[in-house]
Amino acid sequence: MTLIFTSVTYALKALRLLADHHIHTTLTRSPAVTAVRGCGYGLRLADPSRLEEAKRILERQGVYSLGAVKEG
Amino acid sequence: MKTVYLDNAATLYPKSAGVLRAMERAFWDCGNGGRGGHPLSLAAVDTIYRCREALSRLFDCESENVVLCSGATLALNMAIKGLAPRGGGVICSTLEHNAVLRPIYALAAEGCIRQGFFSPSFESEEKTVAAFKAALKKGVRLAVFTHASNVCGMCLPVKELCHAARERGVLTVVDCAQTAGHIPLNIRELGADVICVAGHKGLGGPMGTGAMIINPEFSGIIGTVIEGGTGVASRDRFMPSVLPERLEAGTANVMGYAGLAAAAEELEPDPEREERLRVRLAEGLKSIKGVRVYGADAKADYAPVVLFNVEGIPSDTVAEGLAERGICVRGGLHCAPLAHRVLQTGAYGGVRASLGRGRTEEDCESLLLAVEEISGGKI
Repeated sequence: MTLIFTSVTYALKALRLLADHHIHTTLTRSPAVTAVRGCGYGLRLADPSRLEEAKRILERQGVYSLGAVKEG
Repeated sequence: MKTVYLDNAATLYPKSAGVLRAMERAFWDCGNGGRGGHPLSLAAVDTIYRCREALSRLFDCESENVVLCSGATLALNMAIKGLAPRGGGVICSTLEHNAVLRPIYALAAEGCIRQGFFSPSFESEEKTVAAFKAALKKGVRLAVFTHASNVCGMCLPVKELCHAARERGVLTVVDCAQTAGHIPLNIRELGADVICVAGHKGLGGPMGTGAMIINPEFSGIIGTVIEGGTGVASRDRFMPSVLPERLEAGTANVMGYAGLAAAAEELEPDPEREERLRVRLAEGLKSIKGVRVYGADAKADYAPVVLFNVEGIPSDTVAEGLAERGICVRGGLHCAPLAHRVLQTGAYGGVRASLGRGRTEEDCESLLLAVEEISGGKI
């Protein structure tokens, strides 16, 4: 499961915030975003079951994702 | 001959070994940041973000409020041209560097803005604030001013000026090229909308680095001066609205930003010590017969800069005489012609000695001794 962001800066900010909450993610160039808007970055969650928790943490800090996609 | 480096207002020297090591690591480890998903590109993304984090901690903002660029000149151009109101008024102080003056002159010459000035007072900060308020006439929408003069070092009361501007709905851009790294800066406390900093001066980073710091409370849109690739939203015809990418087209100077991050992380400003040395220099120079010191005695904060002249000798000749003795200073107009006019330095400008990290009392004494020789006729 990959969270998509508007910019690489917000993706990195989200990565650091989630790491502080022990949610492990990796930065990835997202094919899902590229298909729609042409290039973008996302965070792949090591544990997809923590997606909703991750979203809540980020929203509390004012970091909003464009959405989440299931990527192969 | 021992080198005594007193030209830190131009660029800090020497930079630290930690800065060099960080740059070398980035040289070997990084690809093009924000352009790919492979390890070398992601390493660059992380390196650049680390620089944003370091600067955001230093200036009390969010990482996305840090727009990285090649230096204070580009940062000021982007801020002034990106915020200049079409047909509105833009004012600046008479102590500005050409990095502020020329973008404003250019916009005025194109008929985009109406320009105005206010004159900072060397007598009291209250008079400076009053002059500023008087210049905020109807139609003025943007005020640009330096935190500290790059010529004489005097600081403007920026907090009060930003407050006065905000009360009137006027945006503010503050040139902090001479104070960042010397004096602790908090953009929220200053109340400026944008501050522009050089990476290679007081911050101690490499040349070719700087930043535009945007107040997290600023909610307007900054127009773009440079358009191009951002690595995101490539199908859009226009630059993304999201910061900092909106203002960062093109390949990032990843090695430079690696160095700047290292410099910012190891930074320990010591304004009291620098002020002691500045006062020692100013007082010492004043005590030498035939030497005149400019603008050093205002009841204000100062960046560690002293401007002086030796009677009857052009400033560049004095600087040359000092260089022959291993002392590095800068003569001339320091890219700030109005400031020299205000300070009445004359046709040849003045000699600027500027302190920075690592400078000592011994360095100051070396300069004083050499100036005494030159003023005594041993040029």
